Amino acid sequence: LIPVGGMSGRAGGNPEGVLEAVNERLLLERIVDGDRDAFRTLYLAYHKRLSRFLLRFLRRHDLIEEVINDTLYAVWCKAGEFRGESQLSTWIFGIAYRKALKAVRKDSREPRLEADGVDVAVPVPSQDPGERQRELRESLDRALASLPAVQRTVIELAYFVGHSCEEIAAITTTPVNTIKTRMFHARERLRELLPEWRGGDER
Amino acid sequence: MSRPRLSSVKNDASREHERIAPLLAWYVNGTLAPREAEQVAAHLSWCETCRDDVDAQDALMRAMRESPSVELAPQAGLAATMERIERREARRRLWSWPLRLLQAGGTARPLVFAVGIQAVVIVMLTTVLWVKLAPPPAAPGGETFRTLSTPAAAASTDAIRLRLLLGDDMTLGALREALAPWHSRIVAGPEGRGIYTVAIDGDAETALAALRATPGVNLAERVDGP
Repeated sequence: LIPVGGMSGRAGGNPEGVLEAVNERLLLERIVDGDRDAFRTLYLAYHKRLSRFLLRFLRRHDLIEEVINDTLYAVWCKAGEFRGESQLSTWIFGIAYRKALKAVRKDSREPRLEADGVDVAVPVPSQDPGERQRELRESLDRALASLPAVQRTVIELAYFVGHSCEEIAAITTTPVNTIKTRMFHARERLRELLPEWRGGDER
Repeated sequence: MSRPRLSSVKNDASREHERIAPLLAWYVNGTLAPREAEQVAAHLSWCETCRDDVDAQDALMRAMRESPSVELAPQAGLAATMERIERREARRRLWSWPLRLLQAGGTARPLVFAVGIQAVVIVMLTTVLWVKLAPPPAAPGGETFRTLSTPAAAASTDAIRLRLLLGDDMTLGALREALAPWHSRIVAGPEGRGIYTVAIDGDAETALAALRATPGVNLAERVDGP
């Protein structure tokens, strides 16, 4: 089996469980040949990344599990159709994104992907280091949850998954400039809600 | 040599900043194209605001990646997906044999494949022809209907066949007696109402004339004659 967790060489590094692109392609070739072990490796490598990505707008665990399984089953069925015009991860996240959209539409009780986020109050920082760390994480989660889903998706795909602007545009079938605009507005909102990660002021 | 005006330099710097700032998120995650990454690095060398923003975005990215998320155990989902895959593959195997036959015939053994297809076509055509040319089934009760023009069964290859329509008062004994001079014998009949076919050895015209003159013989004609 191909080991999981190799670095891709990107400056930002890779989140845990990410396969190197070359290993992914080898796995996919084996999957095209019907190799079950290769599929299991790919499934395990993508399960965590997809669950984290989907959690931001599906919220219900059973739906997340369903979308992950549907996505990776589609990868098995359509592996032979992948032409390598994009990163494999772009292709897989694109499938997951579209299936998540369908799941959201199907389940009307869930918040719509296009819905605006909710207002979040900025908490008062604690003096205890452990408590402070926990507060930072909670405030980060709240701030991300408050973003409109389309902005949250860009942030997740850029920071957590590590996709390029063009890849995010491909995944969401959105123009590149729109992705940049969404990122800009998301950053503005996060600066406001997360003073710890504010950085320099805009000119 | 004139010095550039201060406002012009500021405007250039501002435009450069506006162009570079939207790229910082992808500079931080390392996905910019090399040329763009070089431009950002050059900009960062003098733009403190963007340097701060890069630091902030880097911290945010690390925090997001280190932030404990809800862990969904993958094993149950993996098992369910593998079962789904096996069901799909079983269905594909079931329906793939005609395709494999075509592929094998078209590539590996084209001659054998062609002969096989030809044999199947021949068998099918033969069956169709046999069905079309076979005699119709007998009428209910086994009765076969004949007309006076229907050819009668031949007694022998040399015999001349005559068809006779006898009257009601003509007996079989009287018929045999009338036929005796020509060594004739009854080969079919009675068919319908008093129709007999007889085979004779000898001159047909003489026999017909004699038979037509025989009381009780209403009609006498040659079946296969001129």
